[in-house]
Amino acid sequence: MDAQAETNSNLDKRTDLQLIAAINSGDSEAFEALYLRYRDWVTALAFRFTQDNDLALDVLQETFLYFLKKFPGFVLTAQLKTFLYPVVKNLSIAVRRKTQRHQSTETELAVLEHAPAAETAPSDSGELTVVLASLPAEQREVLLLRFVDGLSLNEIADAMEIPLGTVKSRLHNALASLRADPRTKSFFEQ
Amino acid sequence: MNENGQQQPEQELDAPSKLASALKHVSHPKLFVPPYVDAAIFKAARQHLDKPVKPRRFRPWMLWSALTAACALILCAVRLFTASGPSHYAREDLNHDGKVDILDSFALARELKSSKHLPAIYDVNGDGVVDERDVLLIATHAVQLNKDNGS
Repeated sequence: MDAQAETNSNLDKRTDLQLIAAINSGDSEAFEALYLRYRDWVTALAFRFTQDNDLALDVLQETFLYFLKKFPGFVLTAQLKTFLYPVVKNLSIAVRRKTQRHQSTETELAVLEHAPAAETAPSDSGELTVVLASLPAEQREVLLLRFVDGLSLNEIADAMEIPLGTVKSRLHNALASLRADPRTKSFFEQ
Repeated sequence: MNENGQQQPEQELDAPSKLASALKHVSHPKLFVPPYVDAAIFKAARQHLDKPVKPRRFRPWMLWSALTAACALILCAVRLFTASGPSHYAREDLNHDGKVDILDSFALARELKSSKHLPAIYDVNGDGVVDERDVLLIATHAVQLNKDNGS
């Protein structure tokens, strides 16, 4: 079924808005298409927060079950990632808290987010990971939302509920730190 | 504008493509999602979204409510029409005190004395004229009633 569902998703050319309109009308196949469209992104984001494959899958399910309950009546006012991002983040915090049975602070979560990457990552990314881990959590988050998740600056501001100017400032400072660090300045060289 | 109020040039907010690619490698690994996870989501979606429309069922309480409302309406209508229509007092009970007695006769006599043209409701004997004969009829009726009551 997974392969067939994936095929169906690839063939579904409807926009997110069109799919949401269909879901509001009771079309469960439209929800399946939307789920498959964002499944991998949500999973990767959840893994970024939890650093655990099983927990990431739990967060994936909880995220879409939470999203499902918004229908009928859900209104998409921005990119869907902008809506899903805080949901995934909050569920990740909750699931880690439940697993570890102690208060998990934002700082801890930010550190966990940039633990050594998966085995599939190229070895030269190890230094990048270390440098990323040294960035302030809020700068790192903006950097990844921009260049990993592909959100625009306005969308990042909406997702994080901060002013656009703050987004720009954090992104600027993060890039400046990477540019200045000898371990990562090579990324900026021509 | 940054937090210090300075403008950020847009080019300073761009990252080289190799940096973006490297960031994706370290932070965006491709994870395997087992089919059972997809199946669980699909099932939940079908249960939540494909809810059958419940047919409207006629319930007994609806019938009783309708009947009660209808009876109440009928009663109200009856009271309305009987109260505002013809008086529920006896025709001879001109002073509307609930009984026909000599006082009704006196009341009509006084009316006759004060006015020549009295309304038809005072035409107790139904001859088309309100006169002493109506007064006499009421008095006779009153005496008759008293006789019946054993007074």
